[in-house]
Amino acid sequence: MKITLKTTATPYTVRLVVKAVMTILEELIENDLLYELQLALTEACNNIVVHAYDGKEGELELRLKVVPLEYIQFEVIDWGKVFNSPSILSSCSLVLPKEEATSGRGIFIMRKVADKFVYKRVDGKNLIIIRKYIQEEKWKVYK
Amino acid sequence: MESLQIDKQGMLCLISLQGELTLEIVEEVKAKFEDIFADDWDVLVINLAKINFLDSSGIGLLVATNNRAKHSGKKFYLLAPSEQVIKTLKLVNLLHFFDILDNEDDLITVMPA
Repeated sequence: MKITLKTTATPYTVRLVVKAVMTILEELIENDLLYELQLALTEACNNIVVHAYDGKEGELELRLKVVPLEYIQFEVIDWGKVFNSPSILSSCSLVLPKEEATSGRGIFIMRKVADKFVYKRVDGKNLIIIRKYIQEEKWKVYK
Repeated sequence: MESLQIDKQGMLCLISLQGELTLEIVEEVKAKFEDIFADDWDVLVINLAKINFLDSSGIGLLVATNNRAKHSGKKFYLLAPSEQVIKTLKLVNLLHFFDILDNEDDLITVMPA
């Protein structure tokens, strides 16, 4: 199953999009998995609002991919600035900022929650992929 | 943010937040915190019992408030963080960073003389 949502990225609209996806996932997987998935997806979308578009308006596309009894995948796309943060570019970095830091934890959260995390710059677009494998007993459907 | 309530008890300032603490509302809450920092208090407590979602923007606000209070020689506590707040703070290894009061009965232990 694939579902695509598009919006102009603002703090308000990305929150609505994330909540819509979570409402779909509530039907598919156990609730105890939802909080961290919501957090990772929120960070991906917030990153676009704050960094890709620097608080200005721009488009966001979110693709939800569900492979039954295997995994949930979010693909989050924007047409903003390239991300040049070392923490997103590194293939294995999972480093937190200092405790007193007031920002810089979003990418850590995405990487920590995801079983597979990918960032790509393709044809003028930023693409973030967050994949989470779901144990068979945690699916509410497809069994 | 569904609600932000401020309760001043002598030199203790208790802020109770309800709903989500996310990018969507963090600027609004920051502005209200500016008013609070302009006020006179020795102990600042934020009640997070009714926060049902906390993202990294909300974490940033809590860390910044903690830093500012501590650097001013004031005390800062989180009160009764909800299960969701604890999940987020644990994920980023910050649970131990904050001074935490488990419940409202503990307020008396931090009340300025």
